[in-house]
Amino acid sequence: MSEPRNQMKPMTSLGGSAPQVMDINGVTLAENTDCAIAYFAARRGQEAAAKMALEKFISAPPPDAGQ
Amino acid sequence: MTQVNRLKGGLINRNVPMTFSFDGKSMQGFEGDTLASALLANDVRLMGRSFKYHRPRGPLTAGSEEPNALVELRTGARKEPNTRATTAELFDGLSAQSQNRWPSLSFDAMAINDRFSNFLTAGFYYKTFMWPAAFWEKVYEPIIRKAAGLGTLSHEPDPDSYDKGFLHCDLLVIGAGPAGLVAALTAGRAGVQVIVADEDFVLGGRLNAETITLSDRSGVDWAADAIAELHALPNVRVLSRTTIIGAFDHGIYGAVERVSDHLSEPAAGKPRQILWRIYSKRAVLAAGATERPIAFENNDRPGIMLASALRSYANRWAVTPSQKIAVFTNNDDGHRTAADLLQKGVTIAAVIDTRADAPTCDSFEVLAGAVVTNTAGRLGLSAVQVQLADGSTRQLDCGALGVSGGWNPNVHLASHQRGRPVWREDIAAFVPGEALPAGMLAAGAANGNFSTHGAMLSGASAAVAALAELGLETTAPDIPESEDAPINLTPFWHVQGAKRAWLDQQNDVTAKDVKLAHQENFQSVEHLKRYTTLGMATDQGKTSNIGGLAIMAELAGKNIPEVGTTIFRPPYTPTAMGTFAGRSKGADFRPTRKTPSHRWAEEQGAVFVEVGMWLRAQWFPRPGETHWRQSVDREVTQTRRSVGICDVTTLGKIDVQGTDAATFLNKVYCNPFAKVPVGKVRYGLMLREDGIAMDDGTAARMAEDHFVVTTTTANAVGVYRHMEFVRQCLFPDLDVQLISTTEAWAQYSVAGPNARKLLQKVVDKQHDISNEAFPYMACGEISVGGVRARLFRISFSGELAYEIAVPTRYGDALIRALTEAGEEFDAVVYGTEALGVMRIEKGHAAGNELNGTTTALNLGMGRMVNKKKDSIGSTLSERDGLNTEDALKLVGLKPVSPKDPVPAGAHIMSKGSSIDAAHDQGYVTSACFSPNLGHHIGIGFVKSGDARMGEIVRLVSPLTGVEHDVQIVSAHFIDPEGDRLRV
Repeated sequence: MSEPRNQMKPMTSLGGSAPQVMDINGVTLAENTDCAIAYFAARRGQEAAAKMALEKFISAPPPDAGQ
Repeated sequence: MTQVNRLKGGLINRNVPMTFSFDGKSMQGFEGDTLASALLANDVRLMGRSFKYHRPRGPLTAGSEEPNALVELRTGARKEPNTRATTAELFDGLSAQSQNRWPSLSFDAMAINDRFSNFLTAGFYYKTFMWPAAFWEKVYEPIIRKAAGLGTLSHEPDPDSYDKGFLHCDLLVIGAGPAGLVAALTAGRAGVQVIVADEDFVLGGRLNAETITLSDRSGVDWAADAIAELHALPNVRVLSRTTIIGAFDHGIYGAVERVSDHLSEPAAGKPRQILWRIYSKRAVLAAGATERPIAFENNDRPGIMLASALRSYANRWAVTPSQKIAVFTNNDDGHRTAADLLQKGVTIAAVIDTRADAPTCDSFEVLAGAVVTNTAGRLGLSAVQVQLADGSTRQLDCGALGVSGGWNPNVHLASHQRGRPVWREDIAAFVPGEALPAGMLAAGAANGNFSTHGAMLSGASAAVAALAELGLETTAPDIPESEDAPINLTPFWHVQGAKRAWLDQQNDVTAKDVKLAHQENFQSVEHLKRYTTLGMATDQGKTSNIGGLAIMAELAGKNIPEVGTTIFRPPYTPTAMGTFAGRSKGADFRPTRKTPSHRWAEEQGAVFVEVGMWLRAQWFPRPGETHWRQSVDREVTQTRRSVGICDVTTLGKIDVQGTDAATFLNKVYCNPFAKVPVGKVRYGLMLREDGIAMDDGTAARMAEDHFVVTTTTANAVGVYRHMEFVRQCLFPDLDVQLISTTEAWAQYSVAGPNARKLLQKVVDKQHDISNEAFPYMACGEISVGGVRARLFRISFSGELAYEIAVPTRYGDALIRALTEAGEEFDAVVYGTEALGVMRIEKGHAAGNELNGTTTALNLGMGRMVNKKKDSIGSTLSERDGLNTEDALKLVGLKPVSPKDPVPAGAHIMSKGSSIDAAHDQGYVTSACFSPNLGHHIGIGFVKSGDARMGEIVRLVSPLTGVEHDVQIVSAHFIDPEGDRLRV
């Protein structure tokens, strides 16, 4: 069996190999590939511990729930 | 004829004349006019025809409560039917057409209905169209449908755009009349965030329609100054042309801002309307009051309108419907109309006052203790007949009659959450009750404070109270001196003996109809409404409901509050569907979802099909293939012979995490999940609460507290919603979280005898996926090219098969890696058609079988409903009706003659029985041509099917002319023992 190249190149969210950039009347709109939205929920009864863990992970105090 | 009825003064801009047309006739008005005021200025009183009797009608009001003057505004795609001429702002080039008439407004053939009014009373349709029964569908219904409705639609797409927006404030002030303006000033000066909204294009409410003074200034000037101050305050947002249409939970209000309705078309890039969702901490309801008419014989002729409307037209728009008017009133307010119009140079025929002790006046005649008993004038009022206090009759020639029966506070928004208004005897009207929407305070005329001074005082104190509730102490501003006349009214609802006395002018409901409803025992207020259609027109009975209640109360020997009111519901005024839709139209309403391998599939020449909103590859034609069957047969054959790859990204994927994840799934699935080992997948069947099968899928236990659940593509949203309902509402104490990850993972099925060999080339070497290490129904975390991935050994096709998932952004790379690795095995890519063929060959149920009528028992999975635990639908699946001895069972169907098809939808009949529903034995749910077997096959449900294996039955489809024999066989056409799965 031959070895596949198996180069797992990621696509951007808008489906391109590079971030999309658009110019609209002098305003540049660029796809930001370094940003993601995360869902974070604490286990029941472990809200405080979860918040501390998140704070450590993002190196900043996390916002309150629903904010 | 150029504005012969234009008076002096008014808030119109005579420097900006505007040309408009009504029914093709060109006329002139001024900036500041409404369509109704401009038509009245041009001596046009007849503006529409009523719904049922096609009676000639003119405006009854000068505002949004208008029942009569409904027109089709604009032409072409922008044409809008049922638009109130009383609120339509005039613009240059405006074109309006009358509606519900043929051939013309002045001669309407359907006015013949009026002659037959004795046969068209309330509820006539319940009695009239009963016989003969056969006439209903062919005769009655088409005629009724043709006659129903008022305006007509353009049948063209709406070219305008509609926006939605969110606003937040400390205090929302609803209405910018005297009470609302003072409330807004009080809060605005205190520095809190204020939104003040009014439906009118000129703010000030009645201050712009009256001749009252506030201290040393006119009401108009005071209002203008107040609005200028509010505009200058940075913490106040003033929204004119904005109707608060509904009061919702937690201080949320819906508001429609008519951004461009006063223009011939919206400016470039601007929406026509905006639907605002306003989040308020407190709200002051200062929506004013609506004058109510009195019912008397023929009280609907053009020219008869509310006395306050006559005053509005004269004072604000400088028009009168006629140069000679009369007033019919039961209160002092009606006298103001006569005084104001007299001052404008209009002749007052008389003021007819129902009260024997009516105030007198030197300037015009007051007929005390008199009532109007009839009117004359075919297309417009020409005279009124008055019965004087001494019983004699007198005829007054006049072209307009102002009617005042008192005022009803606009309590609607206060009751949108089912709060009942309460009756106030001193003003003979309902005011907001105690159960107001959270955070709302009522003020001004909306709260029964009808004098200008009283309204302003209550507006100030409502704002002070609202701010106090928010923890801010403030003081009310000085209230200017203004009229503070007491309410002097003697309730008078209808002239005795009058029959064709209109209550609801839009829906043609008369006093006689209310009497008929009472006589036929439709006495509850809700029954009265539905039987007579009182208050069910586009104006929601703003001028008619209370009059109808009063008559019903009188007939039932009750007082009005005992009769009660119907429920007030949003929207307060008719709202365009486009406004609710906002930007959600076309592709923005129903976006197309593409999988990460879509571009790759396009490169392969895939033919796509919509599944849910997804585009899925249906098959991949190869050169030389001219028919889809050739492609599908090749894909199926090659997959079973070697290996095939299919994009299954669209399957719903739900992450279930938490210490109670297994307990939760045990509730949701009818089969047990508590003991599924980590690293194993189990097939699961979900039942609805009623015991019917809802969806099936797999749940893979990735860790003790982590499952990955798959759903069918089409049910992904529904299943997620159901699981969230179960989590939040049924078992809120479980420690479990759900995350929809459908779009987070790209997933591919690799199926066929060479599936493992192919994957071993792709999966990173450190992961052992041999049969021993990764057996049938195993699952686990792996990596591909260093990228984290998940592997599931599950099979829909019946072959040795896997599903491999990578984060979405690597989907394109993975499909390319898979196909490249598959070259040495002559791997094929296959689409949904081949997927379908293989699952039918294997006898797997899918959407066609889980069709909302079938149970686990029908599907041959009756034993899966585990009785050692409780799960959703388990108990109701035991219902007798779902467990009959001859219950439908899933079977395979094979044609006796190999050339015969087995069309889905065809029904099964026993040999020798007649072909009818009574002898129906079942039906085919899924069918295909099996390239492996060389003939058509089908699966479907047959009564007691599991006990009838081998029986020859008839397959019939009378609609398509199909009738031939098929044999009942096992649904598992291929590899019934499942050996291929486990190799």
